[in-house]
This record gives sequence, C-alpha cells and structure tokens, in this order.
Amino acid sequence: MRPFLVTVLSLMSAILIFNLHMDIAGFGSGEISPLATSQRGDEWLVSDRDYDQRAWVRARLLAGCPQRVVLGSSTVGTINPQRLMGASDAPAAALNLWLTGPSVEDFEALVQLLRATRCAPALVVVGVDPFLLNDAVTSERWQSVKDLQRDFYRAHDASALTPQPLVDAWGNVTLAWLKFKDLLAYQTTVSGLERLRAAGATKLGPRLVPQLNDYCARTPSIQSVRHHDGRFVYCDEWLRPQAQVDAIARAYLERDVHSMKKWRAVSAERLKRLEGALARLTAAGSRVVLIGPTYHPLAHEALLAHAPTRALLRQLDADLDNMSARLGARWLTLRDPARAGCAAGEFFDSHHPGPSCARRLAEQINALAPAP
Amino acid sequence: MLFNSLEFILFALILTLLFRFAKGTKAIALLVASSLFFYSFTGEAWYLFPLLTSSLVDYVVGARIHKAHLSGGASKEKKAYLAISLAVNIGMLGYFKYWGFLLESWGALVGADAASVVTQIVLPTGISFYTFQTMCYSVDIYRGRLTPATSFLNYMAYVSFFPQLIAGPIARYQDLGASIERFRAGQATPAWREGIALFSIGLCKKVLIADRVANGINPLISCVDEAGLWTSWLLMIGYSTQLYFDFSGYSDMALGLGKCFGIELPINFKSPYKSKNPSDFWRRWHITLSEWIRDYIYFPLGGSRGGAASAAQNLVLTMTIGGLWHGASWTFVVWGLYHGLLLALYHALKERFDALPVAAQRALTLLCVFVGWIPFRSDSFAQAGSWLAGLLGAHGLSGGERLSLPYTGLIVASLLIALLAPNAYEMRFSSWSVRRWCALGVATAAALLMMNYSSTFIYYRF
Repeated sequence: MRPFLVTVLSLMSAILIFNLHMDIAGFGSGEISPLATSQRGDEWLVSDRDYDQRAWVRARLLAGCPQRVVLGSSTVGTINPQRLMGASDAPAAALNLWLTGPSVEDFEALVQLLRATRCAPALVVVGVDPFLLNDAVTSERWQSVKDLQRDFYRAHDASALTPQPLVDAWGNVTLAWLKFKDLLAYQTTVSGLERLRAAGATKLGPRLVPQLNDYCARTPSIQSVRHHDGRFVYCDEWLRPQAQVDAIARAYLERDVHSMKKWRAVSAERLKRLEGALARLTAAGSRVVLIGPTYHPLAHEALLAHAPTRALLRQLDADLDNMSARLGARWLTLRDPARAGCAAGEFFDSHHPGPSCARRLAEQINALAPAP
Repeated sequence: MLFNSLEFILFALILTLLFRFAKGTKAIALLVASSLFFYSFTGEAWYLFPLLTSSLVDYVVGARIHKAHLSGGASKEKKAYLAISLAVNIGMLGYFKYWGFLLESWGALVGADAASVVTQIVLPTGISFYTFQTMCYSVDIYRGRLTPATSFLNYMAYVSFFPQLIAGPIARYQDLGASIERFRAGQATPAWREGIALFSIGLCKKVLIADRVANGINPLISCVDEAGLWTSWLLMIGYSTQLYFDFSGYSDMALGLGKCFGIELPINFKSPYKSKNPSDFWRRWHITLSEWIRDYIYFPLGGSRGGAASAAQNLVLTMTIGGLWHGASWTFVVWGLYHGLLLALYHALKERFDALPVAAQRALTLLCVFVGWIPFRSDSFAQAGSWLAGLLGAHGLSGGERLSLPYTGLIVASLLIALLAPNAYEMRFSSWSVRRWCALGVATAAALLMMNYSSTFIYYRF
C-alpha cells in the first residue's frame, strides 16, 4: 500500500511543481495592462501561455471610449469591429471585447466600466451564446472583474448585494481551487511539455509582435492572438483538416460541449440580469444589437435534431426577442449558418466562425444597424 | 459531485478526518448528513425532496406493516400500506422519468411537438436506484422476510449511503443492515487497503479506458449512417467495452468506498463478457438489478411455475420492464425485449446450446450481447437500424470516417482486458508485490491527471 501512496503523491507533486514553473495558465496576468494600452494598430498581442482576457479588455476600455464594440465570447471573437464602422471612422473607435468563458456577471462588469468611464458607444453588438443562459453551465472566470461587478450592483441595486466579506472569501476559495485543478490537469501538463520542447524552460509570456509568421510557426497549439482592435486571430498552422472540423462539429452536442446536452432550462434569473445590464446601455444612448452566434452547419443540425435542445433554442429566441423589444434593441439570430450565409469550410471547429464567415456576420449586423 | 473529480477526492479526505472524531450515533448521523450533502451536489438541492419523500414513506410504511404483522392485523391493512409505498415510488418514477416520454410518444402519434414539456421535467439523479431500494424494503417487510431498521438513522444510512446512492449497486436492507449496525456500534473495520485499491482500479477503468474509448467512438456514432463494415463493428465493440468499464468502474469505486467505511456493498459485476449464455450473462451483469427484477417482477408474475410457455412470456415481460427501467425511450424497451427473447430462446434451446464447445457458446453470447447494445446506445431506431445495416456491410467495407489506429488499439486492448483479466474484487491485494502497487500508483496518477476531461457515468442518467 505504501509504494502506491508514495508513487501517486510523488508523481502528482512533480506535475504540480512542473506546471507551476511553466505557468501555462498564465496566472500572473499583471503585464497585460501595459501591453494592451501600448499596442499599436499594426501589432499583435501574442503569448505562449494563457492570460486573463479580462485584463486586456479592462485596460483598453480605460484607455479610450470606442464607438462600436462587440461583447461576447470567442464565438464572436473573429468579427472585425472595424467592419462595423463607416469608412471614415478611426480604427481606435472600434473594439472587439470578446472574453473567454463569459457569464452574465462579465456583462454587468463591462457595463459598469463603460459607465465609470462615461463611455456610451454608439453601437454595442452582444453575442448571446446559448450557454450564457444555460442553467447547467457555471463559470467562475468573471471573478477577476468582481470589483466592477459589485460596483454595478452598488450603483444600480445595492439590495441585491450579499455581504461582501462572505462573497469575497468564497470567490477567493473558488478561484484558488480552480487554479489548483488547472495545475493538475492533463492538458496543462501536455501544453507545458510542448512548450518545454519548443522553447526550452524559458517562459514566453505575452508580448507584442509586428508580424505573426515566426510566432505561428513556433507555437504548436491554439493560443489567443489578439489584434489591436481586439479581434481573435487564428494562425493558419492551427487550422484542422476539414474532415476533422466536420467530425468535431457533428459531435458538438454528443460531447456535451457547453453542457448543451445537459441543458434543461433557459435561466430566467440570468436573463433578467442580462436585461438589467443591457438596459443601462440603451439608457445611456447606445444602440444594442443582440446576435445569436453562428454554428457550423453540422453542429447546428445536431442541436436541432435533439428535441429538448430544439425547444430550448426556440424558447431562448422568443425570450431574447421579447427582451430586445422591451429594451428598444434588435435581436438577430444567426445561429443557423444558412441564415448567416456561412458554409462548413468557414469554421475553425463546431462554433468558431472563421474570418470569411465573420465578415458576413458583420454585413448582416450593418444591414440591421447602419452606421449612425 | 462525481467520484471521478478532484472535488470528490477532497470531500472523501475531509470525511476521513471527520470520522476520526465521530463514534456511535454521531458517526451514523455524520454518514447520513455527508451522503445528503454529496447528493445535493450531484445536481440540484431540490433533488433531496423526492429522496426524502421516498425514504420517509417507506420507513413509515415498513414500520406499519411490521406492526400489523405483530398484532396479527388483516392482510388488507398490510396491502393498503404496501400500495401507498408502490404508489408513491412508482408515481415519482412515473412523473420524473416517464411522463415526458409518454407525452412525447403521444405527441408523435398525433403529430404534436411535446419537446417543451419534456425539457421542463428534470430527472433527479439516482431516482431509479433509490426508489428500488426503498420499495424492496417495504415489500420484504410485507413478505415477512425482513424486520424494519432499528432506527430512522440506520434506515437513512441504508437508503442514502453515498457510494451507492447514485448508480447502485441496488442493495437490500438485508445486505447492508448488519454492516450499518456494526458501523454504528463502532465495530466496523475499515479495509483501507482493499478500499483504496478498488477505488483506484475503478477510477482507472472509468477515466483511462471508458472515457478515452468514448472520445474516439462518440463522434463516429453520431454519423454511424455513413460507417462502413469495419468501423461499424469497431464502434459496436468500442461501445460495449466503454459501457462495461464505465459501469463496472463505478461499481468498483462504490465497493471500494464502502470498504473504507467497513460497509460491504453487494457485487454488481462478475466478468459479464466471459458469459457462456444469455442466462449466465444476467447473473454477471448489473447483478443487483437482475436479482431485483427477478425477485420483485419475474417471481410475482409467476416465474416458471406455469410451464415453459408461461416462463418465456414472464421472462420477456420482465426484461422489457427492465429495459424501460434504464431510460424512458423506445430503444430501451426494444433492448429489454431483445434480451427477454434471447433468454426465452436460450431456455427453449438450452440442451443444444449447452452442447456446443465452450468457446462457441461464449462467442455467440458475446455477439448477441454486443448487438443488443446498439439499440441501447442509439438515440433513435433510425440510428440503430443504420448501425445494424453497417454491421452487414450496407455502407460498404470502409465507408465514412474511420477510427484512428490508437483508438482501434485501445478498443482491442480494452476488449482483451474484459475477456481475460480477473475481476477487481477477486484480486488479493495483501499479496501484491511492490511493483504492482507502483504500477497501480502510476495508473492512478494518470487517471487523476485526466479527470478534468472525464464525463459523468453512463448509469447516472438512469
């Protein structure tokens, strides 16, 4: 029995120490803010490890007020926000503020940030992924902007705030636990080993580069490359063969990605909070367009073939349509790739449209909400 | 909270510490409280409500029936109490598990879409397992085979004991009562070595085999209508091994956890893929369910008392109900019916079948069982039909997407393990060499590392 325990404990400790050293998850995201604010129009923010996208978004919103913004997850990350502009608009006036694993709390935090900086963009495009209102999905990533989220409630509805010390303590425990789990994860370890092979033990953190060729050639797995305007860029080296993309898309529901198979109800509570956050934007004079991000045709087909999911999507559409009417906003469901005009060859995987599809999405949004 | 999660490992470690300070009634109260805590974290906190309702009803019903027995009360009175238990438990199962299915079937008949109603009914985790436990508690008291639990806490420990609450084994009070009494009296001896080893083996089965096989086959099963002959067979074998390692992995973990508390849970698997005939298979696969439906459905229907034809009819009916127990879908009904027919056919041809060479008996049984998993796994008859057609080469020899070589190797290896390796509970851990312990340690570390990418147990949704 003792050899068993010694083996398990020593292996797990070694992995923990190795992953802590490699810091693939990029827990120290402190350097993001200065990089985000100093990023020029022709520069890309790259990294060999993950980092907190919220830090980038926060820094950019503090640095200036964009006129047109895209909010949402990586599913709207490839939309070029500059395509939402008239030709005469300055590039800095458009930002894609996509986040990894967003939840309604993130929207509350971002709305609060816009309010605090007295910024009212003319157009706010909000990608409302079904997982955002899927009661089976929980995400704790918003905890890194919890100060803003709390300020949102202080400003709008102090009675909704739970006693802060308790919430903060629980939030810290949750975050620490998530970090611990991440350090003991297979994918973190594999990425750490890949990085070790590619760049030795040198830690290559986030940095700005004028061109992507070297970075793309040297980086073995998908990382977030962020353009100056915030859009997500995908190296050609990371593109999967079409058959693989199709297989991933076909299995989207089967693999329960975004807990879509576990989805049981459209969360009324989250819907209400989302409306509360977006209402601040419309009240400040922003024109809000909500879009349902586009799926790969095979993923979309799988979702519709599953009766409970089909019913939930139908309900989600009705709820968002009603909410948009109450807000004076527009709801544009582009989930169906046929409606968006995107083919199977224009996706990175099951739910991330490539640049050509994203261009069409921008055109559809422009048609609905022409430049003021 | 799943067994295959770091949260559960943390929960188990904290529990181990707490039990060092709890003895007697406090220990049993802590066991019940921790089981309910665990259960509330497997889904929604409201899941506790049906669990407590079922438990409370059968505790009271059991006590009343026993009291009526002792006072020589009328059979009518006892029957009435039993009817309450059956109505509540079957009623809850009917509502949570089958109501949506009935509506959907009705909707399909009349051309209406009942999907929105179906999505609003959430199935509480483990309800199929604990209602069977609470029902058999009352039935056994009614039949005079069991005296009621000595206290509500003991009874709740039996119903809610967290290692078996979600997906079995479906224990009877006769199986657990004595262990629970000993646990309460502080006389239970935790078998840490066996417990931890069994848990680790179960974890490896689930994370390193079942989940990995699932990763390979699931995308291809969703497009099985394009799969060629070779891929169709591989997918069938792959799913058969995935299901076995998933469920037997869970059962090993449950047995191991029970041993850590000094509570012996009943064995649920005895190398089912080594079976010689369909009857043998059901004595080795999900044993506690097979015994349950035999004792509480097949025998009350008349069993084999009415002759061969009646026995066959009862077998088919019992197995069809057993199929429906697995899930509210016609594909499960067909799977149960198929096994009922297989059993009836085997009994009709028993002499001839048993005269075949043992290898042929095993191969035929394995083939029949594997083919049966196709409707079990399929979302629809169309998918099942397409898969079966693929097995016969209807989509060509190598059509559609192919399974990669590593996944093919994994499926073959997992099949060989299922066919050749001994059962985990048969292993004599006391005589294991250092090398064996180290090998299990390496495998367990790998499983712990991959737990983030693990899925829920297949039987959790039943």
